[in-house]
Amino acid sequence: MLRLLKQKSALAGLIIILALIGGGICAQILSPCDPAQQHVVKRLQSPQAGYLMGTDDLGRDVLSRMLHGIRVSLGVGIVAVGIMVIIGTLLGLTAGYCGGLIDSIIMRFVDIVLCFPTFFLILIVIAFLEPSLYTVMGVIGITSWPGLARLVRAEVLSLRERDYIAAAKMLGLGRARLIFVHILPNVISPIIVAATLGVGDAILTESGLSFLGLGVQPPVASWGQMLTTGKEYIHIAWWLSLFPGCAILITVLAFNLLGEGLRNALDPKQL
Amino acid sequence: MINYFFRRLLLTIPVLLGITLLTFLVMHLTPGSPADTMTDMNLKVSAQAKSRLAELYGLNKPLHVQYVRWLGRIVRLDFGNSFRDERPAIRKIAERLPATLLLNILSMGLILFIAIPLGVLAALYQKKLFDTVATIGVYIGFSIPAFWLALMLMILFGLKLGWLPLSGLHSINYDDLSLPGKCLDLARHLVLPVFISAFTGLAGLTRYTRSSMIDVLKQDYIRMAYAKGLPRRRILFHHALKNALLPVITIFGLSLPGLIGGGFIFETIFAYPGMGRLGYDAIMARDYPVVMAVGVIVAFLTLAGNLIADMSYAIADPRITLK
Amino acid sequence: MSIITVHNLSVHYSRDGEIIPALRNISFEIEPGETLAIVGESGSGKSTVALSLMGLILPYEGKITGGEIIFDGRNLLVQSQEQWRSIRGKDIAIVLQDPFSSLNPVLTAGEQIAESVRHTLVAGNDIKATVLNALRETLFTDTERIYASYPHQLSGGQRQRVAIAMAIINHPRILIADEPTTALDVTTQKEVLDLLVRLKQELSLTMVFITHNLALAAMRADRVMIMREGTIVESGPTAAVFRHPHHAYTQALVAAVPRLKYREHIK
Repeated sequence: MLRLLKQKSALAGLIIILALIGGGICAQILSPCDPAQQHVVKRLQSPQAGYLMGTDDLGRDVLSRMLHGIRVSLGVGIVAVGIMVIIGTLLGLTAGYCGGLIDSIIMRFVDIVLCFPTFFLILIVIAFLEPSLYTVMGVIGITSWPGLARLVRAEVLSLRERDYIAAAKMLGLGRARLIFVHILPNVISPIIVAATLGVGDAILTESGLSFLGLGVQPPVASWGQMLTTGKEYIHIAWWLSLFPGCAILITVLAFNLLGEGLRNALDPKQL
Repeated sequence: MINYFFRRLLLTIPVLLGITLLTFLVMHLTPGSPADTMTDMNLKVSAQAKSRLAELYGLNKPLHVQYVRWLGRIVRLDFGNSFRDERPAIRKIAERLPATLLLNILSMGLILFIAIPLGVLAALYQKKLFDTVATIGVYIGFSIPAFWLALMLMILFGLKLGWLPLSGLHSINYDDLSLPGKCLDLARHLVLPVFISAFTGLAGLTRYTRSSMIDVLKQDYIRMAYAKGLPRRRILFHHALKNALLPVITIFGLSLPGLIGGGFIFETIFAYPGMGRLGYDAIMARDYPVVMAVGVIVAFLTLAGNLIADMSYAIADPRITLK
Repeated sequence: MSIITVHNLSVHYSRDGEIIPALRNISFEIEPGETLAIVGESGSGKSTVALSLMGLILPYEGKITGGEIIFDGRNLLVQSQEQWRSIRGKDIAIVLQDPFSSLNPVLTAGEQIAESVRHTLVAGNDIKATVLNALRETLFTDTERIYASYPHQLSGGQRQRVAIAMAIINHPRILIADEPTTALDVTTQKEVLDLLVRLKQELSLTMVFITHNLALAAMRADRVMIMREGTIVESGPTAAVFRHPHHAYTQALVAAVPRLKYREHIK
């Protein structure tokens, strides 16, 4: 833990994330206005007192929507990654440990899914379902587990040959116990790193989908969705594009910095 | 060597079949049957006509029969006709494919020519200013939403400075231009799309080259090369780079789906007449045949790219093919 | 008249921002034609001595913080990179410990050995002939095959002999062997050690032999230098050091050697 904190960039990332979480939880309190409330009279105001980040085309306060947008982004990130980790780890462990036919089947499937551009898959699935917050979470999770499964499997394969596993086997430990008690703890480090970086990816994907109108629907505020409006009014309201974009950038950057910091801290080679 | 190639090729066959299967399943298992979509457009169609249509497309046969029939047709590149304009799906793709390929090849070239030198230099000047700046750039590259960057650049270069056009591949007066004029026009239209397309891949590859190079430079055989009194340049190029670039080839291959896939968003933003945009429009319009065609072809391309990357790696690393 | 004189050499390593002293102000001499064994545990600084003699401590690892290394009348530590290059591989050569990592995996053995001579000879044929000759000197019989092999196709002992061929091909005056047999199995160890002894005689080399194994030193060295934590604890002719070790540490090391071995050779 200490090694992680020693790296300034990772520390910065962690602080930003904590600030975001705090902001998201307190969004209701911190927002000067109701994010869904429209004031047609005040539409498209540039940043000024009372509307620190300006207003959008329906007169909604951008700052308030930004704060509420934190919830969407972080929420999607965490849930999607949660799904990714659970499915990916289980299947990766199984494939790596059991080998043989099970391994082949799982890995062929992984190979196939990985041939499709993730975004394309997501687009197809979402276009045929009702786009919503929960759909987005689920779909991102379901399309990103193959990458993690491959990673986990590789780790398991290298661990499987280690002596302490052979020793445990000779002691007669059952398969499940071997996998969960002996192998899993050693695979956790790369999973944690992948999960952290995955949150950043998920946020990027969600904002891309929302931008195309296939993600979170109004009136729920999502940064990607705010950028759709931004694009329309690009000539006259630069603030509609700038703030949400920066928010996405900073958030994803924070997760990336943290993830990289974790990777360096957890890497045994550095010891 | 040839053995390795054939074995590798053989392994791709199940994946190819799997691709077609997955595409087929996704299409047919999602809500909204193809026949409904076709006929929903036209209210005048009677129930009878509807069932005749279903008959024609074999949509009332069991799923596996449909799959086999479909498979048979796509082997001949017959993906059916687009629901929207009745033209053969494959023809629509053929029109758009060159543009997408152009974009991808230019992006790949850009990535290779910039990322590798950047990565190597960052490794050599580790912890100095160059490295720090490069690393910051890389992190931003990973974290920035590509479509937002596209927007920002469009504002800057298209609107404020007016240097570059905002959409499409040709200007309106394209046909009237002379040959060099045409080339310049094409180039101007390509700058932003290629740059955006390459951006994330660039970040990834730079970082990877850097860490690969750093790892290699720590190896004993590099120290031995110094011990033999070899000049620095030779050590860098002949010894270090050859080893450092090996994993880079693999990573490059793995980033191909990202490259092709990213096209879906920014081809839309730039109104670029490529396959990505075609796919997006088709998905929005529930144009099943085109969607399936795009899906299968894109996946095939990725598979081909991976195969080429693997083969390149095998050629480059003697440890793979020689026993 | 010694061939190398080391005065007050100090070296430190830097890792993660911490400074770790590796050599503290050591001084010693190497006599021409002798085999000097530098003996010590891991961390004693013995390998650092080897790397310092050739200026092979890379900038990111650490640096030489003081002292002189006099060779051929000049101080190696203040010379330019070009001057270093003229010495390395030609006057002084080194064989490293791990044969599995000291050869470049993507180049053939022949190419790597040839690199050492490329500057002296011009024609391609001459180079190849010289390389094959060096392979013969290191007791390879199927030299053509070895020439065309990649390191992963060779055994540990073979790789180490290739490394030795790489080192002696220019007939250097000094050969440094940094734990050359530690990573090999016992039977191969003897092969390689015998080869080194033979080459030393045939080519009139001055040899610096680094090891953690006092018994090995006893068998093959003229003089022995015991190191511990970056300082020289004791040094002198091998037999004398063994029979009458002065320093407590040396005494402990000597006591730890299985008696059978060294008794034979000290006679």
